[in-house]
Amino acid sequence: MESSLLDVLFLSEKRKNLLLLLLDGPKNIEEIKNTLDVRSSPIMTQIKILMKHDLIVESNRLYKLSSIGEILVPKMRAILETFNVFDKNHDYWINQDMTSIPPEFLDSLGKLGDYSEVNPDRNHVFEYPKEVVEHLSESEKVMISSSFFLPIYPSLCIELAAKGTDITLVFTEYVYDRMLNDYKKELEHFLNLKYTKLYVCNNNNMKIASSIVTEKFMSLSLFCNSGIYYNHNLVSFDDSALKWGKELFDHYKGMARPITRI
Amino acid sequence: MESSLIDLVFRSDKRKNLLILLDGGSKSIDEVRTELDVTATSILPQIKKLIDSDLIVQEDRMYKLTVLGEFIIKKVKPLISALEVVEKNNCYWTNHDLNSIPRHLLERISELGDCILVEPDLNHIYEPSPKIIDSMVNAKRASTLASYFNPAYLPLYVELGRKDAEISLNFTQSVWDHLSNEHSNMIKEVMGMDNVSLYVSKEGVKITEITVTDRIMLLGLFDKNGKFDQQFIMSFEPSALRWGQELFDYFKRLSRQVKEI
Repeated sequence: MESSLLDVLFLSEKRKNLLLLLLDGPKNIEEIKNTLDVRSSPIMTQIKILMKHDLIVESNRLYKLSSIGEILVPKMRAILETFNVFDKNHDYWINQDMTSIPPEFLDSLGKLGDYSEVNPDRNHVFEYPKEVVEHLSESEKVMISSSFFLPIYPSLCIELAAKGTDITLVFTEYVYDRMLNDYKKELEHFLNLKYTKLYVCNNNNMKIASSIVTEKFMSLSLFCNSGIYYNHNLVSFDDSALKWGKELFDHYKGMARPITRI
Repeated sequence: MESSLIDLVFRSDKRKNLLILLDGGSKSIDEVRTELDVTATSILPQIKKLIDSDLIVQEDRMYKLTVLGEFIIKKVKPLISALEVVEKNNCYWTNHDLNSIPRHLLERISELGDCILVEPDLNHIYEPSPKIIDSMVNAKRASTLASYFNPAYLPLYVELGRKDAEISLNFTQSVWDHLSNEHSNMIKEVMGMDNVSLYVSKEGVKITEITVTDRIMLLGLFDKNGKFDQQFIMSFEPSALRWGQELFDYFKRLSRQVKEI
């Protein structure tokens, strides 16, 4: 069946933006013009089209979504958010193993919002990119989950914890074993500091490479489809991304056991 | 810049339909041509675009979705299937008052699937609609919420009750007052049956009727002016029966059970 409503929903930037705006609540024409930065006559044309298709209604000079609009526009927004994430960095998502993200989180990948890929420069290939370290040191509450060992973990975590940062780590058995074997002293030191927590989960329970969430930003990194890893972080400051990252962290923490002493 | 996903998926019906087709499994070019009713020359450029954008791949002469393609279709489907329900009976949905249907069920309107519109037959306007009666006579269970009730249906429920069908009836106060006053014999009879439960809900339910049996789901809404136009949406799909049952149960929780007149 030819879907004319689909065209009405997607084939005009102005209509799309107006529908998304009305998802926040009814608006009068002045608010619409100011928020979308449009002039009267072009937007009125689009308003008329949307009204003709019963997607929006007008009452008391306020425009709002119709019942049908309320059903369709949230589904449209979910599509736009997700498509945005892929359009921003098409090659990344093609080459990384996105199925390593737990299904319920992959489903809401659109929440990453306005993210960007940050890579360390060639002199710091085994460290976090400078930007990430800066954001980390400005954060008060840090949650890191990781399924691979990054050599800067011991020093970075101790450094953050020593200055009073609330820091919780969820490592896989693999990473924990590596720490036990090669950085036992640092690990003991870390656990003895105030505001530090360590959890360990089964290797199979965490397939993403790593993730950081603080009250300021979140970052995510995945393995390539081939299983190879290159040092990178997808960094986002959007509220929706912080919430997504926090929930992902809690997901891993929920499957992990706490380590209080070694 | 590469074309955006919105353009790729929605700007061409051929591409959209191809993606939806491949969601059902990999297909050869012949199967694509037959099932979409297109010529090879018209579909091949679209296939190439989708391959170039990594949404589909070709392996052993078969086309299939990539992981990204699968995910994209999964995201797009809730909207497409909601649109299918809405567009099939567009006039009904846009001209009726949906405000009484709770949000979480409205969001799942796609579960109604392939609906048909039941309109009053001018020859039977004061009698039960034969279509509805036919679909209910052998029901093993039936739940009905009605804020408008044609007493002519009452014998049907009495008969179903006698045949041991599990029946739940939920009427608004005014319908209940009318039925218990004017048709007290039949009401008393069903009330005495163990397999029948009766509920009374407050006025203000802006649904004329919701009926769910083991075979059909019937939904009637008031029109935008608050009038009952005797039009119903009917569906036979299992997902629609579950949807209707949830709607019925939602109102049941807001009602009180009655055990005597």
